[in-house]
Formats: sequence, structure tokens, C-alpha cells
Amino acid sequence: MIKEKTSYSLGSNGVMRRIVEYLIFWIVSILFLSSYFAYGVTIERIDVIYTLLFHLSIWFGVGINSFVLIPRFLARKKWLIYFPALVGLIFISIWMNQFTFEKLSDWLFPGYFFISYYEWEDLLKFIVAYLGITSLIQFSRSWFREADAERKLAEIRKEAGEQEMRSLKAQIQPHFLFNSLNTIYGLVRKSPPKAAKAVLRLSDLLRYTIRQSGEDMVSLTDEIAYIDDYVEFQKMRSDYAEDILFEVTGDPDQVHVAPLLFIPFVENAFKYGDRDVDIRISVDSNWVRFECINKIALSGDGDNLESNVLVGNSSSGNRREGELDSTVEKREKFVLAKNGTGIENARKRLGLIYPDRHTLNVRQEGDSFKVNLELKR
Amino acid sequence: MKKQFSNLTLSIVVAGLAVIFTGCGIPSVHPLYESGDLIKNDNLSGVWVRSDNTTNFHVMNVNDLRDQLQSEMDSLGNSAADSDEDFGAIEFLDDLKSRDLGNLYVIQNEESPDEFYLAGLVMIGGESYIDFFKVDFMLSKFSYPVHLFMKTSITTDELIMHMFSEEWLKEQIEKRQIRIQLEVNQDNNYLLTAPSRDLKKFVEKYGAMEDAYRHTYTYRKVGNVPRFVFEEPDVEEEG
Repeated sequence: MIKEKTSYSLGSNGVMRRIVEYLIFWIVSILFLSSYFAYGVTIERIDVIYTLLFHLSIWFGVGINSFVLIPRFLARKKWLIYFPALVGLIFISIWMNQFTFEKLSDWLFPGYFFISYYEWEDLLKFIVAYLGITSLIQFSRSWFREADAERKLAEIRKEAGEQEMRSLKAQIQPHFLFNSLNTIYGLVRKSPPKAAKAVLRLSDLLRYTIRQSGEDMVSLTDEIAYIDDYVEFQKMRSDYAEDILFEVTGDPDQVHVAPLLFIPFVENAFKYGDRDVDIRISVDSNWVRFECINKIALSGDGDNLESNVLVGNSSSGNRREGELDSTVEKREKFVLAKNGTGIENARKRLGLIYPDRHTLNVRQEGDSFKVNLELKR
Repeated sequence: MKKQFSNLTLSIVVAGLAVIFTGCGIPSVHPLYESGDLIKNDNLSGVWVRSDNTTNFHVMNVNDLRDQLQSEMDSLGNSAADSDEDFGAIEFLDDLKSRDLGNLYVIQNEESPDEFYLAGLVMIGGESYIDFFKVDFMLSKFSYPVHLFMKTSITTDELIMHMFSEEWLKEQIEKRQIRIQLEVNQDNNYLLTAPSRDLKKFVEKYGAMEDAYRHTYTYRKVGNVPRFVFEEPDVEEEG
């Protein structure tokens, strides 16, 4: 069995990278200060212990500044709170450094004899230097993040435009229209009321595609209605309408999603298997969950891989087990490859619009193709 | 922490100090006091003798001694035979005074009048400490002036000095468990080079540790009026 799985955990890579950055910075800092503080040519254990103790007050100051003062006050331009708080923090850090060597060092490292070797003027320079360096690193990181966000925004806009074009092309492609019109033609003869409904649904589909594809976000209710139109239209075309299910649970009102987000998966389901299609959308307070399962039909237009393989095999008459496995594997690869472009586009779009706020799981299990998408509200 | 100083043949002036202090810690380049730390205790002025010795030590405050010499000189007039010696001594004491060291005490060994010490009394962490420094007007380039300090308690007629244990201090240094600036030469002689500020902090923080002391010497006061003899001040001050 071949599985294709894509998962975007909530910022785990970013957190890991941040931890590594912190570790590297502080290891370099400890090595540098150990060398600076060492009285001798070589760095002794006592120098490292002293440096670690010296870092306690620096870690305190830098930690409070980076994780509390900057995000809560400086980032919100609350200068009158930030700067007095920063001055207070500096003096608390200096006091902490002196307390570390007057009291704490004896508790943490009994048997060692340390004093506070630096006066508050010297400690002021150390603390200010570290606060300055770490703040600059933080600022530069947010500048990079901002530049990255701008780049992503541009990509989103570009992708949205491309998606609009793709949607339009998808909906007005001659093949689709030809089949749709054929279906409608058949219905006109058999059941004019059904034909009228089919025309309306096709019209709604085209209208929605044109109208909403230019929007950044659309109502989930509208998106569901669009999928429903699409499913109903496909049911009219299918000989297995009773095997097609579209179900919505939860309250989609007040929920907004990117337009035409689910339709590539729905299109794929009908494109490569028009029976046993099971589409479900559920909404809860935190998540919008989309699930699409369909049985795979491999004898569609232009999909002659399976027939070629089967013909070849049947012609051989007595295919060995290894050959069978190889054929199944080829078939699965083929199915994934066929779905690949649409899914890849959808995944790219999700990464741009919902970074760290979605999980997408696409896999084939036997003759079923399954898509699970979760969007954080 | 250790730094070798092989080129400098350092003949520390401990030899002279050893006459009154034996095994009393590691000599220090810097004193245990900074400007303004020195305190005056009138009980310290007088003539003292160690309980197991007969040598008398005459002790007097720099300011008081300077005033006394000045008044003696004034009373004798400029024609006095020993006025030159006294004048030299006054100059020396004035120099100390001008450096805010007027509260130091001058000590003279009665048996060796050439032997002078300066003692500074300081209060650190509620305890009295005394810092000794040998005045050597003939200091050669092969000698280096150092300080020795110890904990002390002074009453009207008794002076007790608690000597720091050199062995204990060396052991901590060798085990790399104390972080203090020092030098050590090829003969394993230790010399503290930590600034006075650090010395004071160490004494303040760890001065109450019993392990840090080894000997205690007691001195009795045998006279309240110290007398100083200044002979031929053949001074060779070296820059």
C-alpha cells in the first residue's frame, strides 16, 4: 500500500528551529564569557560554573524582555510602559546577579567560593549589552518574518489569481461542458423538469465560480451550497446517484473559508470514480473538517494504464505473484500521480492561506482514495 | 586561575613580617582596605608584647604620631640635633595623611628600630580585621611590598589576632574551588593579586568560616605611651 501523507503541525518546525537558535546563542555566550572570565590560560571548571551562575541574571533579564516586555509593550508601541519597565528590569537583573554570588552560589555549589566580582556599573554594561544584542536579534527576526509574510501574501495573491483562472478553465472546459450539455440534452428528452434543474445548477456553478473566485474569504454556507450544486449535477450525470453522499454536520453559519478550497478534491472524486463518493463536512467550535472518500475507477478516458497492464497480463496467461504485486503498485502510483496536480495545487494554496492552521491527509487504501482536511477556525 | 611569573625573582617581604606573623595566610599585593575604610581605635595605641615573646611593639595612629612629632619639633626648635630625622618622618606621615591613610597605625619593633610596619584597622561584616604592611625604605628591586591581614579583636589591654590558614587557602586554590586572582611562582609561593574590593568581599562572605583560620596570637598591652625612634632616615624611595 502506498500512502501519501502531508501533515502541517502547528508550528513545530518553527519552535524547533527557535530552540536550536537559542541553544546555539547561549552556548556561544557561555563559551565566550568563560574564556573572558577565566583568570588562567585554560578554562577551568570553576570558570564555567561561575559563567553559568553569571548567566542566571542575564537569562532572567533577556527572558522577561524578549517574552514579556517586547511582545506586550514594545510591539504594541506602548513606549511609556516599555522603557520604565526595561529600566526596572535592568536593575532587578543587576540585583539578581549580586544575589546569585552573595547567596545563591553557596546553595547551588557548596564547597565553591564565589563573590560578586563586578560592581553594579560593570553589571549594568553586561546586562544592557545582552538586552541590546538579543533585542536586535529579535527585531531582525521579525523583520525577516515580515518580509516573509509579504512574500507569502504576494504568492497568495498570485495563487488566487491562478486558482481563479484554473477554476474558470475547469468549469468551462469543453469536455466538461460537452458532457454537461449531453446530460442536459438527454434529460430534455426524458424529463424536461430535470433538464431545467440541471441547466440552473450548471448556471449556478458557473456563476459561483466567476463571482467568488476573486474573493479572499467566502461564507462556508455558500461554499457548501456550491459543492451541493456540483454534487447534485454530478448525480444527474451518474448512473449511481444513490451511491453518492454529501453530508454536512454542525453549524456553518458565521464560518468563512478561502473560496473553492474543497472543490478540487470533490472534482477529483468524480473525475476518477463516479460511484461510492462520500463527502462530509463537519463544523465545530474550533475546526472545519472535510472528508472525501471515493472508489477508484481506472478505466476512464485516456487512463489506459490498467487496461494495458491487464491486457498484457491476460495475454501472458499465468502471471506470477511478484508480477501481480508490481502491477498493483503501478496502479496505485498511477492513481496518485493522476490526482497529484490538483492535490498539489490545493496543498500549496492551503500552505499559503492556512500556514500552521491546517492538516491535510491524502492517501489511497486499497481501491479507496481518501482525503481528510482540517482547518482551524 | 594560577599564573606563573617565572621572570620576576620575587623576594617577598614576608621575611620581615614573619617576625611578628608566622603562617598567617597568603600575602597580598593589595591591602584589605580602600580609601575611607580605615577606622581608628584608641585602644590600639600603646606598647604591645606577644604572650610568648618579650619583644615590645610600639603602636600609634599616623595622625596622632604626626601631631606628636610636630609638637616635639616645635618645642625643640629648628636647631635640634634630631630635627632632620623627625622632619623626614613628618613628611612620610603627611604623605600618608594626604592619601586618606591618616588612620593607619605605625608599628615599631623596639629591638629593631629600623623595622616599621603600617597597620590598617577595618570593620568588615561586623568583624575587625587588621592589615599589615612592612615599611622598607631600602626596598630593593628584588623585593616586593606585600600586605598580610587577619581577623582581630581589641580590648583595652589585649589584642587577639586570628591568622588565616595558608594551607587551607592553598588547598582550595589547588582544588580549583575558589575563584580569586593570584600568582604562583616555580617555588609554589602564592601571592594574592585580587583588588582590595574583592579581598573585602571574600573576607565579608567567608570570614566567619572556622576552617579558614589556623593560629591565634594574643598580645598584651604593657604601656600606654609608645615611643618611636627615627634614626638616620637614609631614604631611597624607588618609583
